[in-house]
Amino acid sequence: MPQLLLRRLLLVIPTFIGIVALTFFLIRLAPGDPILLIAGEHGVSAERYAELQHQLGFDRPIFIQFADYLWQVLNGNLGISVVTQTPVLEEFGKLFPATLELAILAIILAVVIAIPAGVLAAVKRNTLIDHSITAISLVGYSMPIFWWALLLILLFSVNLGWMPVAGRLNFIYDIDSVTGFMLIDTLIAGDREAFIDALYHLTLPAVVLATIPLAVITRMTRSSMLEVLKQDYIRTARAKGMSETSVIFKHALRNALIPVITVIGLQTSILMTGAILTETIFSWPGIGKWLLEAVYRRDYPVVQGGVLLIAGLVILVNMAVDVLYLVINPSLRQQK
Amino acid sequence: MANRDCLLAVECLSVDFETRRGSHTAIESVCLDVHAGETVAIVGESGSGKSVTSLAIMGLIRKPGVIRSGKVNFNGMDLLALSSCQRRQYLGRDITMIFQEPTVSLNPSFTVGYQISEVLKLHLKMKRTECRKRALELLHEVGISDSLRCFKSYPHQLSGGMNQRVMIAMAISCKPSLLIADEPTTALDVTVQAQTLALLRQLQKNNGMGMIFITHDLSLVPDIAHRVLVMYAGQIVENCSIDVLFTGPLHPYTEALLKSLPAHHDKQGERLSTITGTPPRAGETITGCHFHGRCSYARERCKESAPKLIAALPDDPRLVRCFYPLAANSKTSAGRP
Amino acid sequence: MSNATSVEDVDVLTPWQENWYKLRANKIAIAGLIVLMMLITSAIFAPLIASHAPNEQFIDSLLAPPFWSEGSKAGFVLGTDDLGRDMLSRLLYGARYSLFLGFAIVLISLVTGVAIGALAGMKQGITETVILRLMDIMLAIPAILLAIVIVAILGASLFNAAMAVSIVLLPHFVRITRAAVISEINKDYVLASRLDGTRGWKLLFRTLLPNISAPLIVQATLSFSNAILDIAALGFLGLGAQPPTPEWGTLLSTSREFIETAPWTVTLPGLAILITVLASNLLGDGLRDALDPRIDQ
Repeated sequence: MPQLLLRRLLLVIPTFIGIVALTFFLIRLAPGDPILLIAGEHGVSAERYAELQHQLGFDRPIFIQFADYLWQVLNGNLGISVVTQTPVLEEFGKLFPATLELAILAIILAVVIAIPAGVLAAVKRNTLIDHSITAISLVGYSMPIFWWALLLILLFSVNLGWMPVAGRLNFIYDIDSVTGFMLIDTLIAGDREAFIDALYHLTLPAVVLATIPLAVITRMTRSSMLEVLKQDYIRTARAKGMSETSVIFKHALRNALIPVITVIGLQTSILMTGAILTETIFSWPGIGKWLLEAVYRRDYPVVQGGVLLIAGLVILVNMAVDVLYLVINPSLRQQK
Repeated sequence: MANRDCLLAVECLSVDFETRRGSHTAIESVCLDVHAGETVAIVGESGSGKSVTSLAIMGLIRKPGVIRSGKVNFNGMDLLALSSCQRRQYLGRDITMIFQEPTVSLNPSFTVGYQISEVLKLHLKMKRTECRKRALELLHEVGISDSLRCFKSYPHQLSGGMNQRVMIAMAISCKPSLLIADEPTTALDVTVQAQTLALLRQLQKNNGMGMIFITHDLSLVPDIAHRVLVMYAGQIVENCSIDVLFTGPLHPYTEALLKSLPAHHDKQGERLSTITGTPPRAGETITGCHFHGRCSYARERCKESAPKLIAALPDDPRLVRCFYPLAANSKTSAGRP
Repeated sequence: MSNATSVEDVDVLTPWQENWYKLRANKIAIAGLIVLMMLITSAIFAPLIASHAPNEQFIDSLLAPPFWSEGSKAGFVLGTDDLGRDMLSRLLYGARYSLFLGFAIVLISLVTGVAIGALAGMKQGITETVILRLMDIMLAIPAILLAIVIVAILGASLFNAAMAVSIVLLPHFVRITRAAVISEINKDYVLASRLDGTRGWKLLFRTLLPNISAPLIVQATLSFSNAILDIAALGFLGLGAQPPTPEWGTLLSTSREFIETAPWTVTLPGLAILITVLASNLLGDGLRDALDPRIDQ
């Protein structure tokens, strides 16, 4: 098992270098001269241009530039935003908690609903309950979430007026940012009304972001559960005199969850995709919106650094899932 | 024949399977008795309804299977009349079962020790340390020498024979009065098969429990059973004591089974006999005797009406489902070498 | 495994006939297929069905509601948008973009993916490792994000968005093809072909491809719905088709500000996307059940 872990860890290194390379060269393909972009609209003299070129290292061979960039990345230097002149990593750090808070809430929401729903559908196979759950999850799976977000806004914000349309917190509240998580910060501040307001702001974006993972996990849980319920050891558990609840939730679910956990892990990538759309629609000040705005403004250091950080995050989560997979799956754990 | 004072008395048990193409009968009017300390073998080809019978006794028939009629009297109480919650008290404690594929019959996510302890905790309300102590004893009892290591192992780390021992340990953990063994040795190597049989025989004798031993291999029967039931196409066709089975089978199917056994085939150089034809498929409706299509003694009456399982001769305890049972004389017997 | 029908025995079904029978038994999948066919037909015949040109403006009928609402105007069944353009006509023409692009994207992805995947599977060694690593890298970047970056670099246009989505969908085809090629290449029928002297691409197209087509077809169907969703998402973000192109995602983004006054301009394009994606997912699920040999009968 430690060897397996180590091998998995080592495999991450070339992938990560590959991602650095990909973002590095991809940005070089972009039209427009980065120096002119940095210099702004007024343009520069020829000497100033050469000076800038030298200063930024653009006069060196491209592979040296890449090696330099890689070195900078490894030292935590991801460049400086052309627009705001702040380091990319700093901006990311400031905005990331907002995305994380949203993503965590969404995935909790998805898992809490999806696993019981999937189990219920499998246990009540071919009944009305099963067909309804399957149909709903298929619709959820096919949902264009940007439209879904607009529908929810139309219903809950415009027509019913229950939910706020945008942002994380009403501007009337002044909450110190301690953790960056609005729910926790409002609790620390001891402001009950602000906490409820933050929760209201979170609800719609979290529901939207949870939709696709919810559908995917439900489908996966159902099919995995159906597969497990056919196994002989389930019959053994019943023959032991165990209650149906124990049979389903202990003997069956424990095994059915093994593939489901992988699927939950793979949702990170989907969540980040969803975050870009969701944050844009709900004006949520997170990294999704930040990246998209950087694309609109052609703020390449931000795009480059942001993509790198998100990809790194996805790789890390996938690795964590692999490890978790080993822990919960005894038959894999033994293999050397 | 319902005998109230025997351990298990199954009366006219029928199970149907309901599919989209309509329902078909898996077992029909199965009656059987098991006395305390007695081993009854159920023999038949695959698909003859042996396993369905055992699952029906346990109340473990799941959809699309439905128990259509019958009673399963266990110590004088009809298990099928109980709610599933009431029945569960007996399952795993008084009536236990072991299965054909031991490795996939154990949950891959839990250690075998945990799976044995689970029964002890459920039925005997033992504490954790007690469970552990008792589980180790049980593993020792079924002949596992390194019981501690076995206790901590997952099923995939053990061999099939070991896993079957674990299953047996689990089955005897609450001193059951009835053990149902559904082809317990089929998936095992021949040497392991013999050891497992010996273990089952010894445990049965020591604990005085009743046992139903299900197999498709008639040659295993004399080693373990006191009485044998032969099943064909969902029906019991013969019910007789082991002593007389090999000397004079009454049903043509039993005779054909015996003739196809290498051990009971005495003429050198002659081909082993096989039973011509195939058993009826699931869902096929048969009029008359279920075996008539393959029976070399079949007459017109066999095609038209179905025989009942009755005593062959007025004083004979043997039961047979045949209009023309083979006489208990040497002329038609397969003969014991 | 062979695709040939035996000449003497006409009753024997070819694998494709058998799969078709299995698929036909799946009513939900067939429903998906029928809806998809209807959408394709209406997209092809959009000029005949649509009552107006997609960009024709009726200044006196701005934001007219659809027929079921009060104040609807004759001639505009599904109402009009903020510039007085007929919604139904725009949606019908929009179907052309979404469906055509969906097919084109899947085709590009499929062909390139199969070529790269087959290369990886047949060559093995360093080529394989490099290809697989590259695909891992692409999969580590969230699909929409990768597409956004590619579009940001290439410039926002429908064509560039389509290219970006094709690239994003590529790794799945590469992986499936490689896995299938590797599992098939050591089988006896491939060996027989090789002994016959069949080599290289010919081996791939004549011998291997027919036998690995099932997973590719399933992936293609599911990719089709992803392509439509991604194109619409890029359009919605303003990185795909540009107004006044009646592409569904673009329709949604331009009508967003009228969500309160004219909700139908928002609900209808999204509904069109949902129906199309749902239909192709239903078909994809049905195909997977029909083509997966493990789920027989």
